[in-house]
Amino acid sequence: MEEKLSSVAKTFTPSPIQELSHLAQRCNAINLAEGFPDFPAPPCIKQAAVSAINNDFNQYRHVQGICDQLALKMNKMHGLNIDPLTDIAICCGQTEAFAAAVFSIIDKGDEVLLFDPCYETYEGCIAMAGGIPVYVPLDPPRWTLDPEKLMSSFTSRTKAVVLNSPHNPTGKVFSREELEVIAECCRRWDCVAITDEVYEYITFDDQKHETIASLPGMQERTIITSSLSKTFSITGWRIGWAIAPASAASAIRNIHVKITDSAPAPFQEAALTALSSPTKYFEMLRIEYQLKRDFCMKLLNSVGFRIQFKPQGSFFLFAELPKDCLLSDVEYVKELIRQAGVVVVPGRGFFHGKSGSDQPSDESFRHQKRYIRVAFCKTEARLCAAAQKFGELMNARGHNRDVVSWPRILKDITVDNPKPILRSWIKPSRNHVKFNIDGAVEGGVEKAGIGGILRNSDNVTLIIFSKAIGFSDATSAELLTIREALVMFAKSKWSKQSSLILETDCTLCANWLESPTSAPVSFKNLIAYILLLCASCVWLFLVNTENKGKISSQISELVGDALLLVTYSSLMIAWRSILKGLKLGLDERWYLNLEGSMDSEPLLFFYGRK
Amino acid sequence: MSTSSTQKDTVSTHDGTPQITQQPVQVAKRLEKFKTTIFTQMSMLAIKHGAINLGQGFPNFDGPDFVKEAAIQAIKDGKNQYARGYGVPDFNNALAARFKKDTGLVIDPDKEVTVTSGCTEAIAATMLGLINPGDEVILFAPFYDSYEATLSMAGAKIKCITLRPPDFAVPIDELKSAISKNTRAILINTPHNPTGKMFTREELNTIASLCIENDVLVFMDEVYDKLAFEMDHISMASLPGMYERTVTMNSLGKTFSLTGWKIGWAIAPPHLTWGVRQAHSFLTFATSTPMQWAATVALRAPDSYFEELKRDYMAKKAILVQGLKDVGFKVFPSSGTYFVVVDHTPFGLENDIAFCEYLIKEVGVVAIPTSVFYLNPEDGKNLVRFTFCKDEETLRSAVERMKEKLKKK
Repeated sequence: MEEKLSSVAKTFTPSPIQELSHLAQRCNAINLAEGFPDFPAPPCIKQAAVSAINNDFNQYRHVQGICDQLALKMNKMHGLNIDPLTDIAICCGQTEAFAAAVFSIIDKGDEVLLFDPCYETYEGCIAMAGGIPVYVPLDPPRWTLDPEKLMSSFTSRTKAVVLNSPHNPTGKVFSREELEVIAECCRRWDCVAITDEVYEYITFDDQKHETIASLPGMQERTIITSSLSKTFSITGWRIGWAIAPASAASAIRNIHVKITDSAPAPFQEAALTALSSPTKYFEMLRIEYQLKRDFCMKLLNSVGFRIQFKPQGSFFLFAELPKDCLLSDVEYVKELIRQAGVVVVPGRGFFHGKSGSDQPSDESFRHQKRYIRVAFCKTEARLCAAAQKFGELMNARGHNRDVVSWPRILKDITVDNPKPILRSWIKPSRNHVKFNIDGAVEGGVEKAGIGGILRNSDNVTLIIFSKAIGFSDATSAELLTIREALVMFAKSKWSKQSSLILETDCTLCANWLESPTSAPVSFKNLIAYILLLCASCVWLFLVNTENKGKISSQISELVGDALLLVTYSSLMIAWRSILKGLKLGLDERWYLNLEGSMDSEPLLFFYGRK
Repeated sequence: MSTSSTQKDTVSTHDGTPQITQQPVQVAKRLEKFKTTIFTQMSMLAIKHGAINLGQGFPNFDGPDFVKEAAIQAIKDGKNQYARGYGVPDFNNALAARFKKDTGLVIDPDKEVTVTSGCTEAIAATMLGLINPGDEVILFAPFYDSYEATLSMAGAKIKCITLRPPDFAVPIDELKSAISKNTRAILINTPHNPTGKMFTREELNTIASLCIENDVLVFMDEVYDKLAFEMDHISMASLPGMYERTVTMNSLGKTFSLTGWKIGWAIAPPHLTWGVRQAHSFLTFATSTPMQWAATVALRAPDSYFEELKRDYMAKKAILVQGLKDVGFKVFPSSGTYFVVVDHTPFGLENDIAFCEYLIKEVGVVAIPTSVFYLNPEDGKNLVRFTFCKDEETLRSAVERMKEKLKKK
């Protein structure tokens, strides 16, 4: 029966990634190979899906709202004008959107350019449609695009270019210059660009993802494909789309209808919730993945890798094996599984060797067997476990390296009891400035002062302030410091271009930042002050009655003075506290209204006892 | 080497704003004739006129709670990442168990079962994975509209055999002359959409012997197998000598009234499964994970579920069929599926599309014109298709409307 297989099916071989996964499973290895998260999807999106199922969104459907939201997003992010009624096709994942796009424009014998190394699935789709894949190699070590190589790959039969950016496996984000080179070629040769932008929201270090469709003359010849999978950690839900000029989108939609008919209905509903996630969600996504990227780089460096290309996007690291390692990529991966119990992907499956008809010299293609791909879309626990294994491996070999540990700010603080609390550690997405602040009081209730110092990430001092605030208690002083610092920052020139890290040892401020228009009150202190006030009044009364004679005058004088002072202070504090508690707003200083003066919320960092 | 001329005015880089003048994106030649499906067109008309939709084949009632609960549980349990490409292992096992129960055949769930996004994708993957450009494939008309499209995508040569009223029996002589050593495959849908015909044992046996004789593959679309009313459903794969050359396709949607979940599958011997899996991995790569878990639970439903399903549908069918007869249609017997085709000519309209438009606008009921299900539309111009996968009240209202407003000429 073998002869019954189509010629196309016969050329396909099982995925090397899947085979290694099976080996890894048998060895119970830590999986840093497969490109999907091992952490849960966002709860609100899951809930949206659950609601959809309960509310009977379970029959064939097309949720137009998805198209409306995508059109808005494309406009906001890239300045594109997309008609949600005609330019978008919802498909079962980016995979299907890509397949349908290829089927919609590729005829038998059409050539399609692909950048090497590349994701293994594109070639299969193109072959199924009768197209011919032609590979344009990106140049290591930084995977730069050589315009000469690109231009010389175009022929009269070239119909399309496939562009995956941010890029799997290298993590490259194509620069604007590179996009312009590709765009120029497409315009000149009248070709279509089919893009795979599934990692569009995962970029690092100020790198922004740009779609080639936003370049002049490109929107009418670009088919954008993407999906929810990587952005929302729901790779198993199969919701993706193609955005293209109306005629192509219509063809893609028709093909999609013949291939699968509709994307899963309840997940289309949930997509509406996902796509309307606040900006903060996407910020956090980038920040968290960036942290993981940095950790992985440190990890690999600790075992001898010298990573020459830092990923700019996606959640993959494409690392060249250390120079002194003589193993090939597959051998290295197998050894890694066996000895360290960690599995990654050998890079050779992403390369497609000879381009054109030149006979490759062994030298120029040697690099194809020298890379491994590490996926860092895994939980912190898993990445740390991998670090642990690496550390053990190195120690076993007598290298005595320290285990690379997750950055913990509190590592240097030795407080035995209670334990320090790590509230959050997130590296700011852009240039940050840090305000170290404190409020202090001489004794319990006394003259108080506040102060702070603002520095940028190069440790250059930008602002120093220090001032007295009259009589206050410690908590109020702390809070006033925070307010002062925030107002100062908001009015400074750095507020629009930098993130703010606020470093303080006051726990109350966390609540205050969450609801800045309510004056913070420490009820414990308030009660104490009121009690103290009452006690002082009682004492005053006692001191001034006939009982005076019963107490030795010297003592009573001293005590009386002290108490008077305490009473006076307490009266003031208690009065203010009561007012604050009643929110009468007599002291405007306590209200924090910084809306609009800062581009992003300050990142709060505090340490101390809870 | 030629360069494209710049006469097209597609480049307007001077002020940087892209102008959409001409559309340089051209659709592949093989697909130019496929436009929006008739179903979408009719549904849009229906909404516009507030018509009762007895056209598109999905229920207006929902699936059973125990299946929905299972999906919700799967989502909450975090089963939201890529499943194994050809199916979640538990689900494949459940499918193998069900197949054994239905046909008596024992199969290997990991080598012979492939899970796809609906039966539609199973069909697409089978065609693209097993058919070469230029291969001959035999189809029975009327046929589900995706068959023609996916065969086109695979570059196949279609040979069509028309099933005719009143009983839509297979014309054996025509089949014998159509099938030859050059035939690569034959595609059979039983129970049959749109006619409701179920292929009899005799018909299947005849086809089977012809296939063995000429070494032809058989692709079976059996999505309505649990909606078999007038006779038992027979799987071609269960006939002697046929399993090794048959791909049996099915799905969850019709049996469990969850058509939007897109859970389907293809069962075939390993050497055929391999081709299906290759195509599938490039079409959608993997199928919705939480729904597969729910489907595992669904397939293990007790027999009582399926019996009740049949009873419910038979009651609905009775209402519709009697109603259509009373209105004056010539109703053809439908043994399975939730469709019935009728002859509309007593009402004097020139063809099925005209009749359906009239039915929507003047009567307020939707039916599907069957000409789209034929290679030659002329063959279907007298017939339209109604569905009874709606709740009883909807069916009764539709019948009332037709009785009131549809008059014979």
